[in-house]
Amino acid sequence: MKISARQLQNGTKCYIIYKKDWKMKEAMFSVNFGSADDSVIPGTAHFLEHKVFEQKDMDVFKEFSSKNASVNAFTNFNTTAYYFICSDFFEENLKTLLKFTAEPFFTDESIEREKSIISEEIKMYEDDPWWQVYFNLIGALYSQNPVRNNIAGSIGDINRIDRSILTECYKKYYCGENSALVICGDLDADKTFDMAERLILPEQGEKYEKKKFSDGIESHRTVKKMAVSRPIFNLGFRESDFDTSPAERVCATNILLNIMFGKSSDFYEKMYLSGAIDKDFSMEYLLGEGFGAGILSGASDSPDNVAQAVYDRIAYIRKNGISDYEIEGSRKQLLRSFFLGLDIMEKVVAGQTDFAFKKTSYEDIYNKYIGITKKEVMNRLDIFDRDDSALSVIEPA
Amino acid sequence: MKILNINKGIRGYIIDDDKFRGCSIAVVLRLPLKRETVTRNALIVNVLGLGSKNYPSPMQLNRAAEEMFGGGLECVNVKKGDSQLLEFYAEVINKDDNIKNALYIMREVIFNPLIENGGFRKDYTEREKTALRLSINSIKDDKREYAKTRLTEEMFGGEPFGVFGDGYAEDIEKITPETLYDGYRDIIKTAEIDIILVGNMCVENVCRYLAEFDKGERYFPEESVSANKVTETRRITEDMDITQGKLCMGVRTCADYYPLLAANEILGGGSDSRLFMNVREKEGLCYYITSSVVRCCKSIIIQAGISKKDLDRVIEIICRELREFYNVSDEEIEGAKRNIIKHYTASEDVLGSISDFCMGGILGGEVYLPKDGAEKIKNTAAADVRNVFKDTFPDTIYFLRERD
Repeated sequence: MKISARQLQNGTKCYIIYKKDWKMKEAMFSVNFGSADDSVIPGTAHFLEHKVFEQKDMDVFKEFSSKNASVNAFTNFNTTAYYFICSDFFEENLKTLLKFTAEPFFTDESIEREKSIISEEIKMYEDDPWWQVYFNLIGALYSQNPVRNNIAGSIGDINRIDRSILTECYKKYYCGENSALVICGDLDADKTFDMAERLILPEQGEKYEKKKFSDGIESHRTVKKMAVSRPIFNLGFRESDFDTSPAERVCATNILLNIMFGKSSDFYEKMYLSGAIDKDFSMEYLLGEGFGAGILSGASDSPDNVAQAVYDRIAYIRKNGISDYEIEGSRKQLLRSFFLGLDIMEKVVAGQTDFAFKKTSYEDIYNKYIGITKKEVMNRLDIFDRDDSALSVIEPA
Repeated sequence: MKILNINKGIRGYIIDDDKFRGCSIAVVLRLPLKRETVTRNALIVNVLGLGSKNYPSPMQLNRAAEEMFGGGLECVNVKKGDSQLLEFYAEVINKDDNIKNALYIMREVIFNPLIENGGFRKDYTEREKTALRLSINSIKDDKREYAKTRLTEEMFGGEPFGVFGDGYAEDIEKITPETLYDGYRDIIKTAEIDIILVGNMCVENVCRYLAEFDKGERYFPEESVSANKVTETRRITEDMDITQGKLCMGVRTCADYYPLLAANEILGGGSDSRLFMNVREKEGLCYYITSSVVRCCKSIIIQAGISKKDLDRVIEIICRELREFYNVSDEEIEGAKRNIIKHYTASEDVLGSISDFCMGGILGGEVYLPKDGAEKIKNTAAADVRNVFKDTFPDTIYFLRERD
């Protein structure tokens, strides 16, 4: 696998990930605009994602389907991305991808119809307790940053969205400087760069400055009642120092989380065997632009007791430190996941897109895992301050 | 691909592909899905996953796994078609040592369990009984999945596929560490064991490692079960405190697998399917609507998230699409075949998917590689696809209704 990078004439950052002998090819066009960048009305980035598919004289789904490709899109905190996967007709499909994202056609009527589809999507997530517990946590961790809003907004929000808002946001965010194109497959890098240059690309535009937010914790504990069989929880720790490099933030935090709470930890064994947590207990580090958090998630009859055990564990590690042996095991575990992730095309492409906007790379991450020091890992304990934490719980109704 | 006969009922499937960095390893104990044994079997795989004789606690086992091959060992109970699979799975980086060590740990976990006084460890057994009870109770948490589970139970009751794959809460209590161990000894002898490796590896070495799975005496009982007959559609509605109703419909056919797969793709496979176009795009009645194939029962299951006020309209459209299915165009059939072939081709790029496809082939008694599946679908006659829903109607319509 080899990754080549080039900035296209219009400003779009373009990456070709070469995968020898792979059957499929994928291309993802993305803009650095997600729900945490929604400056107007929550849910605008996601609404735009739906409407960009609308064209004057083309049915996007049929067009891709007729060229053996499947197309999809997603919106997350900092990104809106459109991508297709195909085995042949790559150039035609790339042309369609860039054309439809460059020439959407908004009509009042189709915008109104989309509201009922997005309402159903919002309602679907309202019934998903794991989604709810996660977004309630984010809302509790951040008092200001729009990351606290639901990605799709609320039904009230989307009813305020109209054609002029979509057009304005499209013009502002869908420009060369604010976009990336990631391509993966058994493809020649130079030829593919040239191919991309020849196709319709968004206008150059201006890179806009992201707003900064001075956040406090909105609340340390949030509870919602839903139709669940037992309580589920997310316990989050909000990061506030962003001077460290993204690669170090990712690698050191993941290693620390694995040592403190992973399947091979003393903590996990005790908590699991005592019945305090289940096998679905998991942890993640969320790396965002201008935000970040360590998050533990699971089901438990007493989330507050789990939270207390987590605080105790952190205090213990703070006092007693970690061993080289633990770092070694965690490094091996995380490098395994890192390399296996490279074997999954959709993951690599989405990962490279994410890295493009967050100013890091696969190479940086790999090198950081290899060279990480105990001090760097221990430094990450700074995130895990109880004062910057929040517990989100969904309780049985 | 290489198939090894290791012992009676123990086979190795080696799919060597050096484009991957990693290698997936699955050791699967395959058992018939039965109401009487499903709970016990689910419990067994979970207790085995807590520790073995030489690695007697979760921390010791997981530390050894982490050190020896980077960890990530999964011991899970899976329902696939009318089989119950006790699956031991790991993906490792393609170093010979990693593969060897992962197979060693899996053998250790499966064949060298931690036994005390003629049974599994009492506290581990109790712990997993509690976990299983909670897991069974939690099926209601995922409303979409719950609706599908309820439909399956109603529509396929009495058939193996109608058995709930996680087991039954009421059967948990009476299980003791000793009866569980009896069950274990039984399945070690009777389960078909399939070992599937996919990825970049030295085949010669892997064959040597697999030879060590040659264990003891084995026997296989045989049984057969017949399908339920339907004469009219059954409708079941349940109320729940949710925001969006979840519709789940089952349709039985007499079709062979590949025509059924193509017809399902046209009806509700993706974002250009008839249901997606008509229910979502034309009338805006839902966000998701899909259909999927139940291979072992020649059936499909349609799922959608809708409002109860739209229920009748949605059912009407679905029934109309089934009724008028015979008129699908050659282009739609060709498009569906292309989509499926694309899906098969795509799965050739994913370790876990190749392994999964191979397992599907073992259960269906047919082809083991995605590219052979692609060949089958390519050769499927258009007439067979058009006839899939001929004289069919929804067998069961289940609706999980939202509050006002």
